[in-house]
Amino acid sequence: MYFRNICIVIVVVFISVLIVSSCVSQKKIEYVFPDAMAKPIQEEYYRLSEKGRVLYEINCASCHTKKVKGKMVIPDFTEEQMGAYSIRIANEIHEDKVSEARVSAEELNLITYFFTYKKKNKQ
Amino acid sequence: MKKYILSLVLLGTLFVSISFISKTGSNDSSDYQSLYFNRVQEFKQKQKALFQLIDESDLSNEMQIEKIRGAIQQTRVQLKGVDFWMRYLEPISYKKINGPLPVEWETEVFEKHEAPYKREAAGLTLTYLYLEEEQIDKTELKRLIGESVVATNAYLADSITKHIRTYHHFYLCNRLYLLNLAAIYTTGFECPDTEQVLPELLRMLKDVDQLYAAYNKSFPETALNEEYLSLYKRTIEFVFNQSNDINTFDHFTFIQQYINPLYVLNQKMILEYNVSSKSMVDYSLNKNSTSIFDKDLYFAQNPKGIFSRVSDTVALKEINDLGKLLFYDPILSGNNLRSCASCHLPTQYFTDTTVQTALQFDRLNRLPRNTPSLINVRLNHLLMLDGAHITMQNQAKAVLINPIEMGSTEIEALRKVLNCKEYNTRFTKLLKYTPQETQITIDHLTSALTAYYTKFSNSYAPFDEAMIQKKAIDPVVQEGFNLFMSKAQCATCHFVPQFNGVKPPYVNSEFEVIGVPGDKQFAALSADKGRSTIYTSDEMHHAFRTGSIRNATYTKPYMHNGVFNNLTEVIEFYNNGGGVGRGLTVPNQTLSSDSLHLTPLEIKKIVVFIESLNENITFEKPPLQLPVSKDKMLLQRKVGGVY
Repeated sequence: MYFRNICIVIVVVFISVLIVSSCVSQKKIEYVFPDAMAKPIQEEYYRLSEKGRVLYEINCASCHTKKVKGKMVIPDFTEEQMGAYSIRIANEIHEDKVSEARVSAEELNLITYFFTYKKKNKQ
Repeated sequence: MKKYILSLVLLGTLFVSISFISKTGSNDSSDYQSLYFNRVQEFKQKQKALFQLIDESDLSNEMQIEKIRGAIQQTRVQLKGVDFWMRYLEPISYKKINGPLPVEWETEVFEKHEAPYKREAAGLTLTYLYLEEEQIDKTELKRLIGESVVATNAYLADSITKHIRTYHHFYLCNRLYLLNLAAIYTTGFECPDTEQVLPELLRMLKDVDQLYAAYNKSFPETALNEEYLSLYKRTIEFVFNQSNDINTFDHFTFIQQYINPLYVLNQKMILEYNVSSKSMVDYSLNKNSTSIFDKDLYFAQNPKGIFSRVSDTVALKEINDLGKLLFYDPILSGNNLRSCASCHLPTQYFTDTTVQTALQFDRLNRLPRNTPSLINVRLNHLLMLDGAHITMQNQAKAVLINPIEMGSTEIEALRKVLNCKEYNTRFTKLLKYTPQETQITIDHLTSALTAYYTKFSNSYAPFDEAMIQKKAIDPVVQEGFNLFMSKAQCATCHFVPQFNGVKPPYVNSEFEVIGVPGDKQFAALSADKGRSTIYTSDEMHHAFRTGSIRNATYTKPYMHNGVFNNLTEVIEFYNNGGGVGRGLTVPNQTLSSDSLHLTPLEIKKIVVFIESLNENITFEKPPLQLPVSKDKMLLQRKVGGVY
């Protein structure tokens, strides 16, 4: 009985993951801005986030954008995970690829805007 | 039967306890991790004993104070055994253990991205200095040591000790250790009693030698190689055979023949063993640098700015050429009469040696500060003498829009530039290298400018060549350098290898208050508030970022306001104890007001050393003409501007 229940749970989870992931599409990036944010400011952040997206594609995507169920998925990172400049020494690859010589502090900020306002992936 | 079982149990217990004892026995000083823990504990015991002694002492009794001095010295010596790890693994706690200044305005880790805050240091050096005061308050004395005991506990926390379990930290600790040997340990930077500098150095060298042996035993796969170890032994012999007086110590040979070659070997091992860093201490240091005097020892500025990822040589050449045109083009100024080259004369090391300070935009008044040379700007984390900017491109923008400098606006400058067909076409072609930007921005212009002028910052001086290639050099240079590092105390602020205010691990610039006068007669202190105009604080009044002395022969006049006209005047100023030494009131002067007792001959030798830091730079001729504009007004522009 217990074993059957577990099996059902696993199957349900598996199916829901399948459904959710097939819904995720990264073709067009959607941004979510707080309602309280004035329209012109939203537009400004949209512009900055788009710059951040391009910089992400150039500097980060080759490692971080992964194929999930046939679709390319840009992961979600929080502002905290981006961790300002400590990201530069987060691991050996970053030491080289996210060095100050390659990605400036201002560019890191733009990438952080991108992750802050990018619509989160469905779990 | 019972007896039999009992003796069996006893035997078993005995066996277990013996094996336990033998296990702890093998974990003594021969084991790297145990060596770490033992040394930290021993140091803590010494600190506690010192605290106890202070607590029990009668501070009105000179004999007892002398006894405290002795105990401080013993504790300092003990510190030398753990210094190797402490500075690297937790640099902030280290300031509480042996901070050089009572109050520092510093950032937590890296000045570029954080506002500085006031940090009160504590520890052995400050305790020693405090004992010189007329009125000694026991509570304060106990605080200075008490805080250092607490700070030492950080080094026993798991978050720190976990690093000791792998080999990575070792080569990075060692790199910092070698850089400090070159830049700090022999100068008396944080040892108030100059007689102790060399005995302490020798002690540290020997303690680290034991540490090396323990490391190699514990990490045989990634051991220090024989070549390194044998050179290190010879380094100890060299120091041992020198006199105990830092004023006669041969700093030049020490760095040239020993410390720099050791650094080179350590860098090779960092690459060979794939050493990886998890510490902000290593933020600026370059794993691929091949000498302490490598211009790429550390990374501070990104001269290519928005073009940072461009590696295509044709594109780089184009960026450089456009930057050169813009550098000489008065189009960037509000009245189309001034260019970057107006004040930063490319024929004069990108400064102007003919005036004390440059003309303002109004062509009448003078600017408050002397034009700084643009050579080696890339080796500063903070730009401007007050540290106002963190990137070269923002600094360039600030000059452009400053109403008393170039008097333009970002929009105006960009509009005028893009109105010139040549600029427009050529910058548009470069747009593909900055896909995040859909159109040309002011950042494209400033990045071209900074990329252009920074190419003159890659040259080496005869002194560098002597250090890197072990080339022979004029003995007077060597004597001058040795004075610079010892008696003249220059190196306590102008650090090896760039001789600017950036000291190991090369993440922060130092600001100093030296009391520069408003005029040569020392009538009053210069009115310029320096760093405190950026971050208001009493300590930072009149503080300026320490500049490099490279190419100083060619970049007169000197100091933030260009008050001194030659190097001898500058050294005399220091020799007399700065502003305070000349009778000015500067309560926060960070320079000692005592005379350095340098003789005229010694000053001459120091000047000869400074001359050996003149870099072999190849300068270029100005462009023949500037791009044509549709705007008739702009057709009158002169290459380089008119004032």
